[in-house]
Amino acid sequence: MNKQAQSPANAAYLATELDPITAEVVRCALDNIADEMAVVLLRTSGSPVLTEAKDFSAVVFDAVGRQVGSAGYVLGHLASSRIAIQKIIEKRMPDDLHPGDIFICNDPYTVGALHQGDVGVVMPIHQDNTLIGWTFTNAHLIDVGGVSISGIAPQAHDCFEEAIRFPGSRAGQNGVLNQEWIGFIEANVRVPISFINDVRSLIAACHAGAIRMRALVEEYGVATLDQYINYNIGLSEKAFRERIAQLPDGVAHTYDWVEYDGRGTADLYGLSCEMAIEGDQLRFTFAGVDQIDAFINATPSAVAGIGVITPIICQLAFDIPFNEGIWNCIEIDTGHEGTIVNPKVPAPVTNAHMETGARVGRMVNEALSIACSVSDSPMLRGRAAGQTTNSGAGAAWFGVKADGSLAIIFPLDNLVGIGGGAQTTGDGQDLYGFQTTLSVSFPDVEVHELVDPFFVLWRRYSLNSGGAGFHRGGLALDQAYMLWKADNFSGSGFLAAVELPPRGFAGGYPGGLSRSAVIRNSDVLARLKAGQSVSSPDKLTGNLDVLNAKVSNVPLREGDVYWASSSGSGGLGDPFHRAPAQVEQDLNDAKISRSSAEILYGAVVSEANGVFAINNDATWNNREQLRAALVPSKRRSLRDAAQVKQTSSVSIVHGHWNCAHCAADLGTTAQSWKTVIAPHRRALGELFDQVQTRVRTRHEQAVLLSERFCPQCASCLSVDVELDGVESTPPGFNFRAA
Amino acid sequence: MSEISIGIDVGGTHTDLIAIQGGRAVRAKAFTTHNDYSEGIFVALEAAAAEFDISVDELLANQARTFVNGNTIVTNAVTELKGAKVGVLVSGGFADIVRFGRGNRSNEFDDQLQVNLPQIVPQQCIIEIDERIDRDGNVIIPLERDQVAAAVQKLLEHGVDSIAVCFLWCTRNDIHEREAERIIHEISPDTFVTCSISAASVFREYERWMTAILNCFVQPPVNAFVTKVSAGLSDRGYRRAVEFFNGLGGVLGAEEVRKLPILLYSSGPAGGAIGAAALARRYGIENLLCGDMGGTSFDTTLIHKTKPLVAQRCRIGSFDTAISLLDIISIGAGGGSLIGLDARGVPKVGPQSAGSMPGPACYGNGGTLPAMTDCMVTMGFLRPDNYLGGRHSLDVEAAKAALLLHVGNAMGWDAEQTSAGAYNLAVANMANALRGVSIRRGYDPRKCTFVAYGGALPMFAAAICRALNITDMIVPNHSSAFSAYGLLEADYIRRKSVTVGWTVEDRDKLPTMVALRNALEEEVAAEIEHAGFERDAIQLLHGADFRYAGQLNEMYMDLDQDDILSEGPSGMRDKFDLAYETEFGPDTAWRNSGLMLVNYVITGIAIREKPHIEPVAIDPQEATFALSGTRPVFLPDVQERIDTPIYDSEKMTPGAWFDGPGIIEVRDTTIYVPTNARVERDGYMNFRLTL
Repeated sequence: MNKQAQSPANAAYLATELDPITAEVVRCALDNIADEMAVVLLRTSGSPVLTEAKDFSAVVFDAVGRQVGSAGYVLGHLASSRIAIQKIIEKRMPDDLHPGDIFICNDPYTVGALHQGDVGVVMPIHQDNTLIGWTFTNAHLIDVGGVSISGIAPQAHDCFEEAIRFPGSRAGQNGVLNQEWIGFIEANVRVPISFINDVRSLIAACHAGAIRMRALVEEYGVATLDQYINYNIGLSEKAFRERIAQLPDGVAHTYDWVEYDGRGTADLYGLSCEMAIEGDQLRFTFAGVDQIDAFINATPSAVAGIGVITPIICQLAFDIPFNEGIWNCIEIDTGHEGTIVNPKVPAPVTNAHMETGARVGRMVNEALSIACSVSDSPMLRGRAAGQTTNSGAGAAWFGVKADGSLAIIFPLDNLVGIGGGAQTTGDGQDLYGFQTTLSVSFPDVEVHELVDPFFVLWRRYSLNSGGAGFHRGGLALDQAYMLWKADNFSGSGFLAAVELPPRGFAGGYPGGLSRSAVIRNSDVLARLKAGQSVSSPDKLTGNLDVLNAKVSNVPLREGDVYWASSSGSGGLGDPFHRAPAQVEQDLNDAKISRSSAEILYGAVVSEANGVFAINNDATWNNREQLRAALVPSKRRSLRDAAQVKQTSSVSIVHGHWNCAHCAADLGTTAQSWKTVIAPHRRALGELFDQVQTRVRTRHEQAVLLSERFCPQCASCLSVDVELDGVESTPPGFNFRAA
Repeated sequence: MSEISIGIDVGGTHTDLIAIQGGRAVRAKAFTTHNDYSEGIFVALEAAAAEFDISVDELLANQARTFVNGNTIVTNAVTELKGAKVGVLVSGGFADIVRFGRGNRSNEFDDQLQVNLPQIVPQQCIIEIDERIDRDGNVIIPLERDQVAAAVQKLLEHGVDSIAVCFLWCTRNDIHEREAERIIHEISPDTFVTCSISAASVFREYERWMTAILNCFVQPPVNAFVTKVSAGLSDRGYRRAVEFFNGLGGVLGAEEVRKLPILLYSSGPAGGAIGAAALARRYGIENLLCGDMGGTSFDTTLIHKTKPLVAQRCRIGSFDTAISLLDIISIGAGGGSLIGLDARGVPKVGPQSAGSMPGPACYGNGGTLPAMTDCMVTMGFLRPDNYLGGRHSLDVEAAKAALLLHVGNAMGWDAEQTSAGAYNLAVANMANALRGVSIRRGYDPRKCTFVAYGGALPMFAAAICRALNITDMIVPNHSSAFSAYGLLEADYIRRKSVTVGWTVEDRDKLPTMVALRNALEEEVAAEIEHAGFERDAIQLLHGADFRYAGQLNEMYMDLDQDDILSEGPSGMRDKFDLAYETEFGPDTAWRNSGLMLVNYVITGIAIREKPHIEPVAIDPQEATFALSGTRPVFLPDVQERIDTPIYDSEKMTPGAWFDGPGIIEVRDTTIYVPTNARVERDGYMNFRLTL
């Protein structure tokens, strides 16, 4: 991947005599254009992936290919669209471009798609034969050919098996789709009508954007509009640079693994992240193991979009209007070709976004939290957060309905029902989705049952899925359904975070993990025939077939129950600091179990008539004792330490790390404070089994929690995740020597 | 002496009354009394009666013909999340849907703003009942009476005020919801119950359930209000039924309001829209945009062919519901909207508001942040000594100081430049909102007349028109009480729908469709008859939500009564394809896909008698005689302080006109007429601007 050069030249425009009010009016108008494109797409598309899960985007570019307006939704497409436009400009300009050209882009290797399922349309905007800008729309379509449905192919060994790829092909001219291409597409996808209809919607949205863009050019003139666009890009760049400059110079570093068990063994593929802060510039260096012959390899836009720009927007630049100026402050280095973070053809990539891309996003989450918590700015220190898990339980099904028609079903519920990371301002959001997917929702039960041959048994919170913490991580969804008046469907599954959890921050604990299973030969139909309830797993009998995380050709028969739960996110701060009243509320809200309250939160619980009560003083005493047993040097009150509200577990005082709660000295900042405190290690699997939290336990290279407690107040300062027998430097920050 | 029609709009701050008798309109205002709204109502009635020179008893007992009330009780309860303790009985396996809906994620970039939906029902008050009906309406798991009874007992022990019954697929078969309702009534006859099928008989359980739950949530305050007002008026001699204005722009009787109080949501903005629609009919204008600017928000909607547009499946507060409301876009741009700098150091207006306490800096109530009203007094549009007809005085120096401190100094601007900048931004925001209800829905704003009302908007309205190339604009007489006036223009409206799920190509199922339509017609007509209208005075309008096979979102289309029977080239299918392409552009219809009629909708309308307003003769002449002087005003469009002529509205006779720049001062409204615009007072006593 090319390094993105910084372009401080834009700052020069800030000095020129332009009216900031007009600039703001122009900025809003450009974002509005993207918004209107999104509305056209939403209202005309037939894909639930688009209308409910909002897996689409609409972006406006100027004539030279700079991002100037965008409409929320999938933030990762900000990278896709940018690469697509740049490639089309390179390839087509100046002679091979005509007004009304329609370019189809879904090839991750050449035109920036996150994966082949995301089909993009790029159209130039002309006025009087002069190029004045570009529109980009993109949506995840339910089928793009290849060995598997839904555009996600767990079983494919190379990208040729995965799907058809459009490397920016001119599929239409003068605004109309070419019949030759329509014929080609119809012959290569399973649901041609819906594919072509959705491409038409993408084109209609581009048309709507072009009309508004022309009106804007008419109003201001090309030259003036260009000046205001430069000005706005400069403003966003300047604001973001000022923000970066508030972080200390140095490097935040962390690591993660991608899980893949699709070939019979549960393998882990390591990757690492270094985020260097150099003045007002951010430089990301990612490294990973060699690419593999399964769909996890990250495409360029999965790294830049899901991995980098999404956490940047949600965590650091959350209040700065987004445009090219933000990109100007960021460099991304993915090293040499042929790795999972920089693969080459023929590496398969259909799950790039939900695997390596999502894991890169988790690492950047953590790197940003680390860097923010050593900033002098109180606002930035407040931006630390538990990792957002970015891991759900995806599945897609294929079969024949009772009326003989073909059904392709891609229930997104468990890709939306993913918990969000705990924040310094409060608990993480439940059912937050991937960090990159704004505005996501899942269809109603009645929508599923009306459209698909499905019967939903239950839809509820996945107990204990939110990571424990002073602020708890967000919870995930637990849902079960079965075929209804249909039989013999076949499906694929793609889950992440089955063994390796999203991590908490500043003493917060990891979130719960994903799982999917089929209850085979169950008594569900017999129970229904007898009019008996089937609303929870304990009411059913049958053989629980826990599925591998990456799996294809899963049979689903009449009477089988498919049951899936997604991953919740990491907590923030020591759970022993959480107010007992809040733990009691969580317990009565059925968000945590009694075992979790007692073990992870140190609560003293009693129960009467199904209502739980937590004794405040007894809980604090219990917490003191439990921690004193772990930390013999403890000599300060944990309860007092918990009263010191901090957004981080450590602070910096005169070049020394201090416990943020009791001010214990943790050594000089020349070295990581984690080298000063010996960690307590325990197996994640055992702990989570004990507290009834979903996890698949690894027996070789077991997943360990590495907890570090303050030697004086015994507050939990960090909980890292390690693999038994694998050397790893705990996540941290190296200050650049002055 | 002809009878008097009374409209009373109980707003957040003021209770506005308008009483119309023949050609005469009387306005009265009182402060809203939040502890007991009827107090404020009677204060306003006293004032109005005094204007007519009669007693309130005489007014109510012998003169009043209609009494229509609009209020913000439901809107406030939902906004402030203050309401009843609600219990919910829900299909087994699905209790958590009440808590998390369809997921919590919003469109905000900032992860710290991603929080859960507000929990208006305590977890222990959501109880699962083992029952299940499938998508075809078959009972799969029968309801057990004992289980329901035990759940109800438990809810009563928790002290719930009301119970919502929320079961899956009640739209196909409501036997379980009705049975549960009966059981609750038997156990506790006084507990208010809403079945989701009664709140909204359409599929998509979350919206339907939330509608029922919110209905239960807002019921106690509405019930108390209805009882109090009805009793209060009847004690003073009013013999007719009090009517209540709903968010769809129609009126409802007290009995219906007690059953479905949620229908009162957003009735305030709807009042103005209905007034504007009546005005459109009177002028013979087909299409207009209307706008109202209050303290915290700017509301706008489009009137197409003299009818306001209706939005379906509206969000109420944070919750998605199945309620239909007038399609009104609301943005955070009001007199109290705060002016500040964003993360880039660029000026911004709103969406935060100073509210009425402490209010803008110029109110002198302790507010230190500058708001839009501070800009208007700084530029000289508002007279510091005569704000709202003299009820407030404004501190210009405090306004200027706040503007400089928080915005001007950083930008290198003086207080007037800062004000003009904020004014232009607010105008751009409001123009964007107008684009939202016009261009975005396929209507050309340039072909619309802009009707601007409320106390503040007429200062901004001409600039908004210029931003959108609108050339015709009307500021109604009684601009500040226009929403109350709109109440009197409403008809009796009842909108009901039924989920059908009929693939229109499937002619075998046509008889079922016809039967459902007939039953719905009967149901709507019977309800309106029950409210006291003659059967033949009831007009039934038909329509349906359609979607192509493979789509998940519906599009609504008006239908004639027998359109469902039609086939072939001029049939319903072609009509829909055409409507779809009109909405989304040529070549977008899914001609190869089947078409499903998802919900059938009937709107029953009973025409109520309206105030008789006749234009008076006009005498065109330049309004020099209405000139009350000049005042230096910083005009934001010319970026200069100019000695601007000030006109007294009282002296502007019908036909009087002048060319801008100029300002018309009405008691509690200020109208800005910019350069190159002409204003004329017309025969309806409204101000009409040509731009």
